[in-house]
Amino acid sequence: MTWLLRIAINLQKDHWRSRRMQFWKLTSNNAVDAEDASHWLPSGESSPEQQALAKDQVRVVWKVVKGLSERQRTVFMLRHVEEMEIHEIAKTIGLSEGTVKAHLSRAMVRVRAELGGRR
Amino acid sequence: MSFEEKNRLNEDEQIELALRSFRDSVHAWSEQEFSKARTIRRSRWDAFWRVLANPVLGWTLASALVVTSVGVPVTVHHQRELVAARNAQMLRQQLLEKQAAQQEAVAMSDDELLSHVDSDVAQAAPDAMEPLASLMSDSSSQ
Repeated sequence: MTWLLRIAINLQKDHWRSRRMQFWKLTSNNAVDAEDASHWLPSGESSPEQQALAKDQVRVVWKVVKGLSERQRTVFMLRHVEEMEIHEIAKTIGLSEGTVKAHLSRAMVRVRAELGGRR
Repeated sequence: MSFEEKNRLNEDEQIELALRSFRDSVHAWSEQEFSKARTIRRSRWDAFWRVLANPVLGWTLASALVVTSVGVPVTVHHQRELVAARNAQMLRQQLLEKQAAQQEAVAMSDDELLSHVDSDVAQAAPDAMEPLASLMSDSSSQ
């Protein structure tokens, strides 16, 4: 039963990834405006206060992402948006797992610094 | 748990939350963008290739191409052979006519020669026979 569920989840993930692939293609030529991007939050059941906080955090992360090198950005987005495993990222972009980890670590240091400094 | 550890845990939690919000934001944004009605601009070439993609038309065009590429050279070759045969026949005809004319000319000159010889033979008389010939001509006049 568990493996069936796993297959179903993976299939669903693949489906959304391919849909998002269209989105990445669409936005690849246009610079992302952090201000605009932070508006896109699922409404959920959170309070307006939490929404405002989340919006602010998203804006900060976008700002950091824009400042990353291309490779760091790719690794960061694949890890934290596409939720890919390290070995999957390494295979996808043709890097060793160690290099992927190093890029991700550098990106996370910047995110941490930016978000930590704002608190 | 020390204050520093607590602080660090809190920070990690905040970062985790920020990253989750970021992920949700990108997903929501991409979903919204993806479900937007989009206008697709098609070039004239797209229409051309789409028409060509029709299997019936494709087969028809391929057949026409094959027939043309085989039929045209065969027809041209046949035409050339016909013209060459006609030319050869004309040349043969001309040659025959020329030969006939030459034969006729040769035949006429033979006749002329014979008549010339006849007249020469008829008129000329050896010197020794000249008095007799004059006698014959005198008696014939009398």
